[in-house]
Amino acid sequence: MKRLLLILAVVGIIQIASTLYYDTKMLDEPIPVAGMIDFANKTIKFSYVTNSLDPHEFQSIEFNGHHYYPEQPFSMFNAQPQTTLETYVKYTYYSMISPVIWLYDNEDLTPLEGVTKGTIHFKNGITTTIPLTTYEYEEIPQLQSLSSSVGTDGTSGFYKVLEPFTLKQVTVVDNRVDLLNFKINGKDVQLPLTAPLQFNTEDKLYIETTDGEAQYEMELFKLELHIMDAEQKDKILTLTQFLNTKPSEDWVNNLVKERGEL
Amino acid sequence: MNFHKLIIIGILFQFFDINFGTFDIFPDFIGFIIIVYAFSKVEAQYAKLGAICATVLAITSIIGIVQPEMFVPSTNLTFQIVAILNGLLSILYLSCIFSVSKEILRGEESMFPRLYISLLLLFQLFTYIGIHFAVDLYEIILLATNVLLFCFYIYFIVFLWKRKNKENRLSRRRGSKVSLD
Repeated sequence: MKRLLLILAVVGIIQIASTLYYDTKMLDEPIPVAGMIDFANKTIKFSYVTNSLDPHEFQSIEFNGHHYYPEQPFSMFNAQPQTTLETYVKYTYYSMISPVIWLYDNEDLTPLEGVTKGTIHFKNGITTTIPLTTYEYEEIPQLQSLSSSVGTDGTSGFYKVLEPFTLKQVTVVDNRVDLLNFKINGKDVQLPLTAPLQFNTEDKLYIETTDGEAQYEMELFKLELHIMDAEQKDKILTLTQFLNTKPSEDWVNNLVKERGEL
Repeated sequence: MNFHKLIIIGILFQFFDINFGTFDIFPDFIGFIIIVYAFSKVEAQYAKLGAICATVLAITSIIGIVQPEMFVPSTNLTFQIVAILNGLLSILYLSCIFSVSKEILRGEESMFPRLYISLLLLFQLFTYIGIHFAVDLYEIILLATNVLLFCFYIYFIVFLWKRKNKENRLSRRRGSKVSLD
């Protein structure tokens, strides 16, 4: 029995030490990461880092006094904004929660015009401001998307040319992603382009990229085609794809190290 | 009613959690009180220690009814330390049960008590050390350990039942020996 008491004392000390160490890792306040108002797909997407045990619970996000709640009841006759509230990644000490708010009504988009940041309200009364980028649908009369694929091994898009144009350059507007392949009518083209390329109707264009870590659910990255259209005007055609890889534990831990004292 | 029978009844109160809303029809604290009574009926080396542990566990069980968040996994440091002490006390009181049982049934050796107590100690340790492991690994090991512990718990009741029968036989033998004398 004496030996057991000694073992129990040692186990107890280890347990309490382990608990105290875990407690030092806990975040008092959640860390907002990034977000986007996607006018094209009528969604608001964002993310924040919180504790894996006892996470801060999302209550609403506010823009100019207008709140978007996850509990809004679904009605078949009067579509309400819906929120998916899922744990995006969960690691030893920290998790990333990435709510996605689906807006059905154009009226729900009105309070979002000109917005660059939102205020996240948590159930324990904490509020935090999150910067948001915006994405608006841009019509691209020169191209028609034939197929696309997205995955953690990379993304690809296959397009048909509808109107002739001259391509001057192709760039990815995201340092997390690299261009892998660029093909015109099945033939590889070296990038960056050394000379402009002429595209005619019915030409086929294939673009393949690597994937990158998405900081929130369904984050988009942009590919820019710098062109001169049929009217000899310089234009940028913006193509988008989803980032599919989830942030690593190291990335989350570094973010907490940098901004944990917020 | 012999020691083992009372312990079985007490353990069954802890085993069954049948609730009507927040009301548990087999409250744990009644189980602990029965176990305190079982310890008070025998004269053995660790009976008193067992009774003290069971009394404290009965009190924490009553507090748990009033303040249920105390036993829900939480990040509250005070509650966590209470949960740790409660877990360690549970192991100590089980050891007392095994020790008293061994004293009543002298010569009835078994490996089970040592195995069960070792497993409980490992589980206690892992629950708090494992939180620093990768989440997936922690959850898988915790699930596997819980399944193993459940099997051991069932066998623990069977073990006590067998011992109850042996204690009955022993009492009968002692009774007939006294009447022969």
